[in-house]
Amino acid sequence: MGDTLKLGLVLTVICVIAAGSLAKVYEITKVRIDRNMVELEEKKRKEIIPQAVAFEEKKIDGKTIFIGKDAEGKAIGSIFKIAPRGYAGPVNAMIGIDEGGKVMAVSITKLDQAETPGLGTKVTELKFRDQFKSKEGNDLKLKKDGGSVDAITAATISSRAVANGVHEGMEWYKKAVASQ
Amino acid sequence: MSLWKEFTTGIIKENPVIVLMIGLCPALAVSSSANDAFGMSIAVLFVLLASNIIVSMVRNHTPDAIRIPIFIVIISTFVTLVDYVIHAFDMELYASLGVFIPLIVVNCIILGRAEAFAYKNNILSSALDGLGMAIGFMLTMTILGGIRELIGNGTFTILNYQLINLGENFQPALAFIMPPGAFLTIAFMMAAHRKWLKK
Repeated sequence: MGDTLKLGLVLTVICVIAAGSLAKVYEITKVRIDRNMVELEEKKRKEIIPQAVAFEEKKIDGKTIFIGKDAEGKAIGSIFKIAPRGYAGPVNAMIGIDEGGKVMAVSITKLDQAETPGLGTKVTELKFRDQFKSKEGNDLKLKKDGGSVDAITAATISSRAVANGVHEGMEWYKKAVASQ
Repeated sequence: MSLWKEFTTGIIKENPVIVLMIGLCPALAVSSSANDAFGMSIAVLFVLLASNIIVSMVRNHTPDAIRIPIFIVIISTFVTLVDYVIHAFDMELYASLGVFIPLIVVNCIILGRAEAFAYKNNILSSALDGLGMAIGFMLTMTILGGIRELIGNGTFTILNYQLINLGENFQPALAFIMPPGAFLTIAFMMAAHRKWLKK
C-alpha cells in the first residue's frame, strides 16, 4: 500500500513538473507563434499577388477572402483558401484569382499538407503549381479529366485533389460574387 | 578514452538503425528524400540529447517499477517543447521540420536509449551516447534517403539545396521512393555494413 502511494506520488510530481514547464513555454511561445502564422499568411498573399500594396479582408458566402489592391486602390485580384481532400487528409491551399476570372497563383507549402513524402508532396513544388497560372474553367482539371494540368507521376490522387479543389474553388467564387 | 567510445559506438558499432535495428519505422517512412531524412535526424538529435540528459539526471529518483511511464512523460514533454520553440523562433526551420517533430514521440531509439543507457549511466556518458546515436541515425538516414532519392527521383537535395539533378532524361525507378525501395536499400546497407565490420 505504502509503495503504491509512493509510486503514485513520484509520477504525480514528474507529471506536474512536465505540465508546468509545458504551460510556461506554451505561454511564452504562443505570442510569437501566432505572429509567425499571421506573417506567413501575409507573405503567402504577397507571393500570390506581388503587385498588390494592400489587402482588404471581406466575407462572402461565409468564407473570408482577401482583395489585393494596387496603389490607386483598384482591385487586382482576390485570394481565398481551399481545402480539398488529398490522399492523406486535407490539402490546405491558397489560390488567387484575377479580375478576369483566371488563376493568378496556387500556394501550397509543405506544412499545408500530409501527402506521401516524395510523391504526393510534389504538389508543393512550383513545377506543378505553376501549371494553374492564367487558366480558367475546365482547363484547371487534370489532362486525364479533360483539362490541361499534368498530373504528378504516381501521385494522381494528390494531383487530382488539388486540381479539382482549384476548379471547384473558382466555380464557387464566381457564383458567390455573382450572387452579391 | 572510454568517453570517446561511448560517443562512437552509436555511429558505427551499434548504429541504431542498421545494427540495433530500432527506430526502423521512421527510418523507412521518412527516408524518401535526403532532405526529409536529414531534417528528421536533426529533430531526433535535439530530443535524444535532451531526453538522455534528463533521464540520467533523474535516474536516482526514478523507481524501477514506473520508469517507462516516467521516460515517456519526459520524452513527450521534450518533443512538444522542441516543437513550440522551433515554431516560435525559426519559421524557416519549422517549415521543413514541422511535419517530423510529432513523429519523434514514436521513435523507439529515444525510449530505447533512455532505458538501455541513460538510466544506468552518468550525465556526461549519456549525453555522449545520445549524440553518437543521433549522429549514427543521421548518417544512416541521409545515406538511405540519398540513395532512394537519387534512384527514385534523379535528385539529391539537402537542407533544401539541390546538389545533384540527373535531369529530365533520367528515367527514375519510382519503386525506390515507395516502401519496397526503403526495405531494399536498407537491406543492402545492412549487408554492406556487416561485411565492412567483419574485415
